[in-house]
Amino acid sequence: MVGYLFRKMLRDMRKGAASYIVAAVIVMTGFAGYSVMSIAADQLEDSKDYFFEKTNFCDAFAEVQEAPASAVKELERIEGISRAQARLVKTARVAGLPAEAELKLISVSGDGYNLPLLSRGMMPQAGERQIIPGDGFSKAWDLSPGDSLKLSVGGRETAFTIVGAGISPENIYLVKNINELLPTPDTYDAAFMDYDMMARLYGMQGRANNFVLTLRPDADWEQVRKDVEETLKPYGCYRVYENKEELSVSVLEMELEQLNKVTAAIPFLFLMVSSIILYITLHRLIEQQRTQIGTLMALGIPARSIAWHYTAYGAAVGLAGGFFGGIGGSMAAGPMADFYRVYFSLPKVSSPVSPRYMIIGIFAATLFCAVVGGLSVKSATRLAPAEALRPAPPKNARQLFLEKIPGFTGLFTVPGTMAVRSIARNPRRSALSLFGIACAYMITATLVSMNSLFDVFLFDYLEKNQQQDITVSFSAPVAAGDARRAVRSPGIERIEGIVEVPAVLRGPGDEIDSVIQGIPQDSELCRLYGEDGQEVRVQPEGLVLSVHMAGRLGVSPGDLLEVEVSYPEKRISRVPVTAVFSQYLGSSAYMSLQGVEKISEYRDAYTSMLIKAPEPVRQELLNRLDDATSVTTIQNRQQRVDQYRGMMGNLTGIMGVMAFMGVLVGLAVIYTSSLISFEELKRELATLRMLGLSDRQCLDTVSVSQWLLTFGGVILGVPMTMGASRLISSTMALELFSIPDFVDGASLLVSVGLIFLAVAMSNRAILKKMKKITPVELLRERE
Amino acid sequence: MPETILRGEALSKTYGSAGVEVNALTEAAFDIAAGEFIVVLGPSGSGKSTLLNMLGGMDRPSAGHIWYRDRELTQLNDVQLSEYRKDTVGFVFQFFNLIPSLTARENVALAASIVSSPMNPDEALSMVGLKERSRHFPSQLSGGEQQRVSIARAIVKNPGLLLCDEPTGALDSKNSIAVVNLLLEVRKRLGCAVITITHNAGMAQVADRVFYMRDGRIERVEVNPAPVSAEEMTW
Repeated sequence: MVGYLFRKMLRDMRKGAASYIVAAVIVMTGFAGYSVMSIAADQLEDSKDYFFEKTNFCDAFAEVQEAPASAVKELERIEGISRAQARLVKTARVAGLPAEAELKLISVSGDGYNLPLLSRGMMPQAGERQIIPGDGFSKAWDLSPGDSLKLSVGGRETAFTIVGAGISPENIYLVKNINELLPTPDTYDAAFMDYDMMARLYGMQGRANNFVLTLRPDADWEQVRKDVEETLKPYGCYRVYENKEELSVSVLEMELEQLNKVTAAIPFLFLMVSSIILYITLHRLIEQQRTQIGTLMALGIPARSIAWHYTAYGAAVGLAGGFFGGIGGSMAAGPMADFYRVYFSLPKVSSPVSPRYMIIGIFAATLFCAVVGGLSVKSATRLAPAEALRPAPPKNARQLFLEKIPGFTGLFTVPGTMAVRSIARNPRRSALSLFGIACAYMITATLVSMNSLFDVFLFDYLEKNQQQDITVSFSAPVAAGDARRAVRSPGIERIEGIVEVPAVLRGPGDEIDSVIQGIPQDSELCRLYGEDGQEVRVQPEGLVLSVHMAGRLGVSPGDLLEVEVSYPEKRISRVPVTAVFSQYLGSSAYMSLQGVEKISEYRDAYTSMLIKAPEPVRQELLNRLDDATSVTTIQNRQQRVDQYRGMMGNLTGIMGVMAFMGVLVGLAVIYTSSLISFEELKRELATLRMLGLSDRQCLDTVSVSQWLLTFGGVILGVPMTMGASRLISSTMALELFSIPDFVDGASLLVSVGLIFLAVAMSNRAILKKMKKITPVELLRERE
Repeated sequence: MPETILRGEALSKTYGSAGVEVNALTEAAFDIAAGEFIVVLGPSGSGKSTLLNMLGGMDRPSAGHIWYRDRELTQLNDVQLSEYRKDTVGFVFQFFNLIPSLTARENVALAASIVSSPMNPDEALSMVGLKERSRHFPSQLSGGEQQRVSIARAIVKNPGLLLCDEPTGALDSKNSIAVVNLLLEVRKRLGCAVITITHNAGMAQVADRVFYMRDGRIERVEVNPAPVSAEEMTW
């Protein structure tokens, strides 16, 4: 019996292939996404573990102003530390390149710990002028072993010989600070050189400004941190932190966390849409096969077996979707993992593709779709065989509630009115179609709005909050007068000095290691805006926090925060929060310059200068600052904006493809619903044709209901899109950035246009089918 | 005297709820013997199909009892009724009710596959003269051929009871005569009782007994002293 019913199922499905294929493709898309992201996440984990193990990555870091390298002995005496290493970490400008570029120089020693993983070449020789730039930088500037690289340190250019290329775990995701979103390895990357060479370069022989610590397995981290801070206090201890707090590592962890969140959400969304299509299709099939169900019952086949038979239709769709989704996902996982590996500069580890996700995908999709199939057939198998053998009583024609609106029916032709009533006649199917369209609209609008969201997210910060053209950072705080003199130049429109103070902020909700930025009260180059779009100013006292940071700390304006500044002296103050401002990229705290002076030892000093100047002046200034001894970095805002725009260009393309998928999902739901309506109304259509109505007039019987459902779907889809945006914003917020809860009107309108396009395409396809109707034959057919 | 295999007592069926009740069958009583050919005649709405559904375990009476041999069908649950239909009853429908997505042979084989000792599907198709058309789908067969496949599907189970609901209702006279001939042949070869409901009074000529129904009642039962062959029947 099973074999024959299986054949029946295959042939039935072949007959209505379009709907089943559409449902299967949607399931496939969802599970391909699931597989690809799961496998990519696994491979990233493998790569990360391999990387950490291979480079003997340390457990913790300590940053100091300057300490004797021999402090490692004091550190190794701390209970819980098995090994300490003294390093030099400095930022140096690269000379002789067409763009402003900097390298984070990290000293390496020959003890085998915290070494970069070389992609080519060899480690630098002790005392030699050799350097290993990061892989990204080498690739961007086409540098190979044997080439020369000039660094500008202390106003002097020194040439180094490149002996290799590589990357270390602490530079997986290298950004200058937490306010930068994307790594730009062509202008900022890591580079490694021998400790002795680097010490000579900076005149820091026997000194260190960074210690890396390997902990014992049973170490109490909090105690170790306190002991390390105490030990390094005389040397100006800035910060002691675990490797997971290291920006690069934490970004990787956050990305993995996000990947896992998205992995869980994607198949569910697609399964939901496909289940709507499947339910509509199977419900109609079962209505059509009512007599067949009765016949099978009459033959003596138990109702349970018949229910399983129709459940199998759903299961087959799920099986096919899950299987091909799994295969597609496994095939795409490699390139996706490669993309992430390049993005994070991780080494490629050849981990086998686990069949686990394919099995999970097949099982979950089959089960889910089988349940949909089972629900579709439930009512039919409850009928007595004699009743099932009789044609279903015709559905009562009734008026739609909208028809009570005066003048509503006048909007439609008679076929249009039939369409309106077909909505009322099939309330469940209509509701499902409407919900499916709303889902499709939500997917499309959310993805379309991502592009505008990036503008708010990224470019608001770079183009609205930051008004300076150049940021010049010093290696150490510089007296205000000296700093101004250093950057002053004829033609400069405005100069503002700022001071950046590393601090720990403690609130009732959390404790955050951050950098407080002291800015002038009347700053014009660093503008802060509240969530209502109004400008927020720093007050003489008190902190202005990003909304995200205030949320994490659990404070709001008026509350007090504990602020601990470690350098040059440890000072703890209680500071009021005066305002919050919108910032999605990074997580900042701002104070006035006077406010910073009150909580720290910084007096009338700047760590960076914000400069606004026209292009020729800017260039002249850049040339002059090339030789400045105390300048570590010069950041050209426009260059950064251009870099980000270039990167976002690729992302916009990806979002475009995904939004197109949303439209396809919409098309699938609308077409399935139209097709079922068309099949159901075929006899009426034939009658209308016999009466002399044209194909286009007849099309109204299907198209009007689809347009009405689409209007309804869009109306429902708008709040759903808002909800999705809120959900994404709340679940995807990370330390590095938060996603704005933002959907713009233009995106909503564009999405309406795209969904309407899907309706028009569906109507066109139905019109083609309608033209093939032979009224006489159809009317002769038995119901 | 052949053994009585089917017996009904005070059989009634009421459709609808209070206020709008329709008595489709009222106090029907009968005995049917093994190998008997019964024709049930009556106008539309007389209760013919309702009676057939009760006999086939397709519906439950509102009152009364039916026995098939020593089993009281009215006491059986849905699963047991399904077993009864599977093991005992063969159905032939007015509009054939073949599964359109299965070939003629597959339609027959599907029915064969659910019973323990069925006839060979090819043999069943040979009996109805359609061996050569076994690989055709229903849509590729004429109405008469489809009804013959339907009969093959019914007899492949070796049923004790063959119930036919207007088996010639959708056929022309030539095909109708062929189908009646086939039913008589099946009865002869399998020894099963055949109960067929029809509008066509001519069919009474081939029956052993004729049940005349009106307004839900078996108005009278006539014994046909000299049943004729299908070819002799006046259509």
